[in-house]
Amino acid sequence: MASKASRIRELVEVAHEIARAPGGLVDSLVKDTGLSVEGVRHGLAHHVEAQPTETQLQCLLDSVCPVERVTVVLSSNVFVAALRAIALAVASGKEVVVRPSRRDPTFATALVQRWSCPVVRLEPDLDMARVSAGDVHVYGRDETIEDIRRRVTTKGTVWGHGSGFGVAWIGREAHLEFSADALAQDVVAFDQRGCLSPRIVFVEGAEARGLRFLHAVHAALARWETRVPRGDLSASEVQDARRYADTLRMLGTYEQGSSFGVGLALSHLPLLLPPSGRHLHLVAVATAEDGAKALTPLAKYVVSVGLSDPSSGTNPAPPHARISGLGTMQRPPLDGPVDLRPV
Amino acid sequence: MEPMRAKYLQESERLHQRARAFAMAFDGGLPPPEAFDDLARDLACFQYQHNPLYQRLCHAKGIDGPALAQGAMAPAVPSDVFKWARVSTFPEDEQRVLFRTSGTTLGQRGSHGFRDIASYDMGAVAFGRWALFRGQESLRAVLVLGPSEREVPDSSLTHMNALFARTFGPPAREEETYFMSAGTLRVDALQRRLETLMSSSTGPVTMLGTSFAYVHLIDALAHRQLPLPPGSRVMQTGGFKGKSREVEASALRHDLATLFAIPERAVVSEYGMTELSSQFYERTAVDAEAHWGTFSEPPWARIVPVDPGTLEPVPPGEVGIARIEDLMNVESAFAIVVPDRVRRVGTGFELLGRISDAPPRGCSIGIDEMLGR
Repeated sequence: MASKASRIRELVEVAHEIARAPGGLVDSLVKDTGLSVEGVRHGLAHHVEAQPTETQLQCLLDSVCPVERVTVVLSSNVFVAALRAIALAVASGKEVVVRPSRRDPTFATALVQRWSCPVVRLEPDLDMARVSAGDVHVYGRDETIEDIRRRVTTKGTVWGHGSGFGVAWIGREAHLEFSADALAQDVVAFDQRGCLSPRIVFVEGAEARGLRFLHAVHAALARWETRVPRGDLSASEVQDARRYADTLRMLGTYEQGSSFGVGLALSHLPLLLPPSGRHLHLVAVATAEDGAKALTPLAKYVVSVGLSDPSSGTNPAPPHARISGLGTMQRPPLDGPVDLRPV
Repeated sequence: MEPMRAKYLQESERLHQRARAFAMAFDGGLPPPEAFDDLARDLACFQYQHNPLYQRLCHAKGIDGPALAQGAMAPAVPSDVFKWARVSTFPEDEQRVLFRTSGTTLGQRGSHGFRDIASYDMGAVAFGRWALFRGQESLRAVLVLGPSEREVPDSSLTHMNALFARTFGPPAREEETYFMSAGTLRVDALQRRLETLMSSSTGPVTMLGTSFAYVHLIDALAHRQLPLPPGSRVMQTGGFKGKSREVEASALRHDLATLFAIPERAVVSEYGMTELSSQFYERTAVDAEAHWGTFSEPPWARIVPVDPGTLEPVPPGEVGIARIEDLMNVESAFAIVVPDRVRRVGTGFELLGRISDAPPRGCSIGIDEMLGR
């Protein structure tokens, strides 16, 4: 019988096979996700988790509780997230049932079907009220998680992986143009719809430096939008983008690109969260502590922090945030859940 | 007083008088004293000159404030801005009244300050008289299912309720008027008050309250009735965002009519917000032909449905989000835009709720999701 570790490695290999030759899946993924064709291809090429090292794999195995059965409920997520979600379930359960998102089933379905693992099965129409045994791993908004928690009858644990966002920290010594390009890569991935996606950026220094960084990241996003065009925005995303833009036009500086926007707020204002869909909110702060203080009301929603210098000890993000370098925020190692917030 | 300040006060007072003239004319059954757009344009120019934040918005949109030819060209301030900054043409130390929105889970409350509340009051009374209190000359009481202004001095709704109680109701003690205290409904007190009113004389009452308070009242009474005297009216306002329950508008109207033993036409919805000085009402209580769900505007305020992305007016009859132009917002923002969907219907407008396309894609948290938690 294959070990959990070897199953997870097989799963990752299958994901890479799909990513290397997605064929007709690209069109389905475009339809599911709203990303552009280039956005889907970019996600497949660069954001499917690499094979974990032995240490990372052990961390992943240690991050879950062994149970008889796990039901995984996937949301309309950054589509590659299905890989990690299924890997965690396989690490935990002897038997795994996968209910893909109804809106975004393509990648998860392809993964499970191509893998054909004897302990993992798909149940797209699973009625959650019939889940009466084992743990449940739910991915999605808090309301979805609570709804499922109410409906299942299992005595096992319902583990919720909710929504959140990422922040970036541009330290005093950072090269602004290099950092801007790296940050743009993190923004462009999945059109910023992942919980790791950076949306707020703290720039260490005076407002003038914040403004220089705004121009740099505007230029970087403009370059990236020709390589990986943004996909469609929903009606509410269009509205939120305009609301944010006009708010920043009054309360700071806002630069609009064809398919993105970057705002720099006046420093005395409370923090604003910009909409996803390639919008960044910049704030110039004197120190990381000032950034942390500004972030306090939003701290529980912060899932990740991208650093211009990952070796630096200071950054404004809360301790639970997953740390990475800029440019790799959406490529976390396969070492456990992406979301390290306390449950 | 230094000359610039004196000039500002003179200018703002002139604009206030012009705005109030609309309310006075309406109250007197007369046509508006001037074209809406003439005052609108002058307000927008005034706000451009005296509010640096509004100037920034105009410049960002390529608009030179003094050259504004029409009020309709004035950029609308996003209602969100009131949460993050003062939207005022005057310094904070001249503020006499401050209204605040209810807090979000992030603790951020919007605010709208007034140096002179008289224009607000005049407009509220004039339009309230028309939409809610018309034909109720023998009004026995104004009852408020909400806190007093003394308890909650920074709520525009509480202020309006108190204004209506003072203006339209006979003198009454606070405990005979307000039936919520420290966040709790005073159900028994309300019952006793109504029993007293019903037994002592004839004449209608008008009850004012939020939708959510009424739902609590219905629950507290376990669906028993609380009849109001014949000819009474009920005003309800507000939605259920962030609350534990939601009740659909027509269901609530029916439930209130049953609760109070009044015709459904006597249940009137009001649409207003902290960021405005004016209010809008259904007019079913005073117009037998009026439809529920269609709101009327006073002559000094108008709703323009606009495209959510471009903020350009949508074609007639189509749904857009609400650009609200309010001539009584003399020293704040003449035009604001809110994410409520609206459609013009006849001489009024329908309120259609927020944009409700499919839930957002991805696990990156949405702004409203975060604020609503």
